[in-house]
Amino acid sequence: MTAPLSVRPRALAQVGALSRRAVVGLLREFPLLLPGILFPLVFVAINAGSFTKSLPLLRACCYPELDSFVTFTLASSVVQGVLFGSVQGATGLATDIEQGFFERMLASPVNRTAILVSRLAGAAFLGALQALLFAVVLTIFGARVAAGAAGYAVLIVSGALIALGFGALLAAMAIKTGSAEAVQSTFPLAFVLLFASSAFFPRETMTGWFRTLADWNPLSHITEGLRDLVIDGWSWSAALNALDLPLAVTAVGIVLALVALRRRLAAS
Amino acid sequence: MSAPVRASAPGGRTLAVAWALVLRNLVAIRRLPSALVPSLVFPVFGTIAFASVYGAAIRQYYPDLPRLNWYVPLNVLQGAAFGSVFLAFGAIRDFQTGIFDRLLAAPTRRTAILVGFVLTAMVRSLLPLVLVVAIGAVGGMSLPGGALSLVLLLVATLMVAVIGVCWGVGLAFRFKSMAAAPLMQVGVFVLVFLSESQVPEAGLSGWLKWVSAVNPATQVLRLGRQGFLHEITWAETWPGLVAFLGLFALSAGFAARGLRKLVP
Repeated sequence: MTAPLSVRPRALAQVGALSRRAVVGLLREFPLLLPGILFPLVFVAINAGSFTKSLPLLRACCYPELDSFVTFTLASSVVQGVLFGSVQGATGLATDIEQGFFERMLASPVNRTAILVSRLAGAAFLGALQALLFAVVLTIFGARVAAGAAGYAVLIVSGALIALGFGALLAAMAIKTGSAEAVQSTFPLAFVLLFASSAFFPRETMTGWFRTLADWNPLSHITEGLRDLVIDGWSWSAALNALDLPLAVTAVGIVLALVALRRRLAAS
Repeated sequence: MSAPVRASAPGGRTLAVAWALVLRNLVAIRRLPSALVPSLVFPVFGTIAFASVYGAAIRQYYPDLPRLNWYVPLNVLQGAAFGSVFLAFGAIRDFQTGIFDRLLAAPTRRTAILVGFVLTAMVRSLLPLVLVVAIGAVGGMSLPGGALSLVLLLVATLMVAVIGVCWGVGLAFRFKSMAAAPLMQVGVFVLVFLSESQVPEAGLSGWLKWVSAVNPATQVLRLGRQGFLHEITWAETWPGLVAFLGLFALSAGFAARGLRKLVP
């Protein structure tokens, strides 16, 4: 005879178990993560070959201490890779909905919020891992983080927060639409958001309405915070820049995702 | 007694069949805006974004020219290349829906199928050409090479469309599934970006400078772009034509061999 289900497992334990499932699920589909890892690295290689001779321009406008273009692109590679990775994370949630696993979870005695939080925790873990990978690979290829170990730590934490924030926004979309294709279709939007920022070249070199767009784009400020740590060294203001906006996006994203979850629960 | 079967059925003439396939492919493109729109939006966005983001770097080499002069030809050619690859996605859909098998069973030369795709790609490549050049004109692009600049850009666009579609359908004939889609796009990406796509030869450094020098796409790009940078010269024209012939021989051979393998 089986024991009666007297006590529901605690929410934290559920989050832990489901987070593990989310991470394992993402790692099992590693080929799907490859574009988010390889594309930024290929982009760095091509841009370094194209713009290394433009270093005097970058030194004159904004970074007098800049020693190589690979150093300049370290921050943008982290932002780019993590952003692309978060699309993949949210696609996993949409796939769960499509395949009926989400409904089975709802039918089980699992804390509703744990289902969402675990997915986001998985995305954050993956974001941190990607940030670490880019930092290590580009350091091997000559990038130098002037802020030292603290700079690397902020890069990794910021990577996790970016994945968490944008992952939460996309999770809201996944829960609302229940379609992996709809989530995947945001990939070009991520690309546009990146290009309309200072991720690839400083804002100071841009002009007109595109400059205004880059000024308002949160990715510009996140990238510049990280880039200041990488090129100029440690400063609290740069660290804050690299962390506060991802935190704000996370807060908004989680609220939207929870609202979407509540609506879905009410509808079912 | 029935009439003897003729070697070539009246409806089976290569060009007539190819043209019928062009019309069919164009209708399919029009009916699937979700596939068409991104391939038009991206060259336009690319032109604006590249000119705005990297324009300052180009100004170092061409201080008197508008930033758009460097990026309009690049994005036209990139749009033609990716558009042709998207056309190959249509070939994969045809495999999955069984239409391709019916085409193969039809009493016509197989070459007509390939020619049909090539002609469609050439017609389709005019869309990004017109759109991006119009955006460039509105944005203040100039033509130091005169009206012939646009003619050469058209020639280069058609060349890229032919090479792109041969590469795309060559893979489609072999894989017959969307699994080939990333490979199609990576091939185009590599060919376009490992060239003088973002900065001129003087701005390239390291391994990219060497790869760009041997990449035939560099010569095709120079052919199409020269009129936007300076007077048109034969010295920048003939290497582009030779590079095209080489790439055409390789990609058309690749596609033709793939098509031949389809027929038992």
